[in-house]
Amino acid sequence: MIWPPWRGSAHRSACVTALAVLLLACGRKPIPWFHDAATETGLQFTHYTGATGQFYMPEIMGSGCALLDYDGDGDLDVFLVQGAALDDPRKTPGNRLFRNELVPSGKFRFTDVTRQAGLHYSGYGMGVATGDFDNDGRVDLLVTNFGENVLYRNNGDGTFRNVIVESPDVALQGRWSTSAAFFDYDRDGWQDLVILNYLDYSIQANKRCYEPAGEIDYCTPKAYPPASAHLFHNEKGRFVEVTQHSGIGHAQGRGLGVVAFDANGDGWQDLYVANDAGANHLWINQKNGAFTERALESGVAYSENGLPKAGMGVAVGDYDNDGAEDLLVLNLMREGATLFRNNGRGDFTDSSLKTGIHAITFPYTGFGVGWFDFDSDGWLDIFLANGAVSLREEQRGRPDPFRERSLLIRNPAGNGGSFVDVTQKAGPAFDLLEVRRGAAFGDIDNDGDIDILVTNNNGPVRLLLNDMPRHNWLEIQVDGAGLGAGMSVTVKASGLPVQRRRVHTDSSYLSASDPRVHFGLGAAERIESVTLYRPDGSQAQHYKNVKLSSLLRIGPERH
Amino acid sequence: MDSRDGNRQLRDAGKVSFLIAALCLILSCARSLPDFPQLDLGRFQPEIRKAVEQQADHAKANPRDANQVLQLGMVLQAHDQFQAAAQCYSRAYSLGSKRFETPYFWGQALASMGDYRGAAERLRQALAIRPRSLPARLKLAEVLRESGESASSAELYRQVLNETPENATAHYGLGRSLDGADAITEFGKALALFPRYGAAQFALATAYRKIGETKKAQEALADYERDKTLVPPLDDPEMAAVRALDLSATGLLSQAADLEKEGRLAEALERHNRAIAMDPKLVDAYVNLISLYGRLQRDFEAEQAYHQAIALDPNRAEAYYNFGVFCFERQRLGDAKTAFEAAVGLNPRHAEALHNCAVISEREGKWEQAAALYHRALGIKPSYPLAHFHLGRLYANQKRYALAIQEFERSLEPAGPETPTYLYALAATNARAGARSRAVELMRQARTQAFARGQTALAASIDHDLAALAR
Repeated sequence: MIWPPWRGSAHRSACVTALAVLLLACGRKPIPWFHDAATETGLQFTHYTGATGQFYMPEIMGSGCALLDYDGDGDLDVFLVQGAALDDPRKTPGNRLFRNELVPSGKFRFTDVTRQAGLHYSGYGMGVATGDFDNDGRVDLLVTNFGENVLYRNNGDGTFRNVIVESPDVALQGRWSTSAAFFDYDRDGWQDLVILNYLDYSIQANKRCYEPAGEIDYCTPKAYPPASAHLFHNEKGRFVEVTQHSGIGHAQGRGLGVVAFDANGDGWQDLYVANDAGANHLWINQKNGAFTERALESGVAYSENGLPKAGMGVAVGDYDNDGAEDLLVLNLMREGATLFRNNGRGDFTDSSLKTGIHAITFPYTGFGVGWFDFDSDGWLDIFLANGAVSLREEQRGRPDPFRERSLLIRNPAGNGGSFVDVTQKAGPAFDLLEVRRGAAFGDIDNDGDIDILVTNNNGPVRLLLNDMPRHNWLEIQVDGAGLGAGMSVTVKASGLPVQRRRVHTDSSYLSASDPRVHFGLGAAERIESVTLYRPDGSQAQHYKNVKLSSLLRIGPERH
Repeated sequence: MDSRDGNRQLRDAGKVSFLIAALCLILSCARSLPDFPQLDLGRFQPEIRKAVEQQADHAKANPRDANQVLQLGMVLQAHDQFQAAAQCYSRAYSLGSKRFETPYFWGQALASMGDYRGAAERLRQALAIRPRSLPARLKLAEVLRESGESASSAELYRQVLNETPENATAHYGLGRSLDGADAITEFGKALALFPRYGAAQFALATAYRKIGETKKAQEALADYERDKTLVPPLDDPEMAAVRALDLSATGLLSQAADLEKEGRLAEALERHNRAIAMDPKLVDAYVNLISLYGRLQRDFEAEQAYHQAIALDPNRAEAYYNFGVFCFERQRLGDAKTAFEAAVGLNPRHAEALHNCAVISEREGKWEQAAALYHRALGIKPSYPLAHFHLGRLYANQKRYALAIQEFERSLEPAGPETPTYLYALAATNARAGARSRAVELMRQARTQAFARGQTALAASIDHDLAALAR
């Protein structure tokens, strides 16, 4: 007897199909788009909340992270903020600085240089902001704490100096500081500083709260009074508080996320603050040292239904490439993130439902967030670092019942369609259920695409390296005093709409990102032009014949 | 072996394959019954655990009784255990439950979890059983909108409005799916039906802003600031039955509020005390108890509740306000004034506290201060009949009849149980101002309204004054 016993084409087709299916099933799996390289590169760090079983509020908030080139060698180093024991914040593993060895050794590894760098301060760490506040062309650091904040000046020799005594107002002792941003609000060429405060809270006054089934849980922030943000003017490297004079102190909120950007296109930096469980704030720069709060009139105080949502992480970016930066604010599970599309001139529309963002994000509580072009197609996509703050029903009874998936959401690329949840294709690192908080974005391995550094509440840091198939790209680095903060760049490449991106390190949650500006250029054959603009909107430089897939460094003499 | 043997083998193999395939088909077609959810009740609050365990025991003792399974789903949903509740509803549905409640509650639970597609499917099943259910249609329309299907959402709202044109929620929902003048029209209709619809005011302001009507946007926003969370009531007895099962502290408070509105004060008190037993730091409970004990004439406990409330949260304006009302009713005007001023200090937009400060100022003979305070209250809450009435009375006492008449006229909208009194005051002021025929006309209206409301004593007073005017 002959095998297979061929009997007619239908039978033959069925067997061929079955064979093909068998082969495919045994074949190679698709390459994940991202993988977690923390362990393999030596980035060993576990966040510590100091949780005592008393459900103190700071325990659930997590800490941030920063990507910065502290030693100016051309690769991004990593700064990680640590928690502490709440009964004694001096008992703590401490914050960590990891030096990236990629340049000049070529080996992609990290070395803990915390002590040598002088960054081993211990406190209940919350967030980090980066910027060149002394205009020496080197990146400096602010670390915010539940307690006293710390300001570090980069000495330029691989070390930092704690200079809080020179700017004592910045310490905000006895308060709960969260996100912060360096930005030049008065256009005097010096980076000023805004620091958010979260709650009027103390451990002694901690309240006991319960979830709907009566199990003890973390309180909603509404259980505690809000606090105001604080604004500091930079007096040539020293900060002086101007909160009341500027008007910023006139409104209170439970501030968690902040971005500085020109909301109304008048060439002056404004501030957007995501407030937890309350109206968000849009502080419009009045060009005279004062700010006026205009979120309600501008359409960014509340979501479309007029109700306040949580408001944790915030990201700013021009997702529709129309030249105006849009806002994305993350909220609690069962609220959905809010996408405020900038209609130009400081007027925004909640586009969460129309773009599908609401439906994708509804089941999650989001913190760290960023607009970034993960597939380098010229359109900004989104990463959300998720993790609950109240126990999740399906995890009841398990340790750490706050774990969630993070999300990778792809931009419909100007087709007017909805954003698409592509998390399932992103790789095993995205299958993890964790309690994620901070997220910083940057090209950590200098390969032309954007990677993500993510912190976990009471858990290990994740370094999500982008392994997407290579497309064309361009990165721009502005050197010199202020490191180009607030400058923007437009790039026109063949076959793509004009992309406009800005030099900034703020946004997300408690974190600071790579100041280099990345442009995804897909299959473009050439870059037609690159134009650099000063923060006031005036043109600084115009470039032609820029090489595809390269890093363009713009020196201080050029801006 | 010859070809005939081979063919026989093939036929036998084919028969066996066919039998296996048929068996697989039968097995797959047999409806698989969803299991009961795994419930970890160990850390549930004891009362809630008891209620859930009781119903779970009933359901597991009768695992194929769809109603018992449905009940278990309801008690879980009442405590926000949506996933577990959805699993129960799925089981009840698979058991052949033909009740509207099963797919309706299921759809509500799925919507709470953000599973809009699933929610829409179940709500449609519910509507197949009860096509005219307004709550189910409104929920489906909302779910469609939240999932980005605005055209389908709009269609459904239109269908609702064809049958019930006076549904504010449907007008608002339809407006959310439209743009420009059409949206403004719908929001306007929603507000005409329910003037304090916060979300509609916000949406109207947004719509005006989009077309550059800044002033109108600002006016709508001013109303919104006052009415933020107010929504039109919806008669949904099914979901009310779910909420009635909520034994959490906040659920008990909600039941207490309903009982108090019905005048069942002792039961309301019992709910409050159970809520406090569950959560001794539940400030809202103590705030409510100030007025509840006051109504029950248990003054000592009312004061205790006040002190407990402000000890837990010194910044709770309502605690001071309720205590102010308690003191005012007991003629402790000094304490009342202090309390109302504290409430205003914490919430400068507390119109009622401002109004009450004005009333006390009036009693103290501080007319200008009182008038200023009434105006402040009315600036925050323009449609505040009682404040208009008191301000009108103040002007009338000062013989400033034109101003008094203006305020009394404003006190007539929105109409309420006190409207006959306000109308009477307006009539009397017109009489004092010399507008006799106008006064008679208004008095007749007041008398008619008083009779219609069963306010016979008021009607008798009006009759007396009408007789005097006739002389």
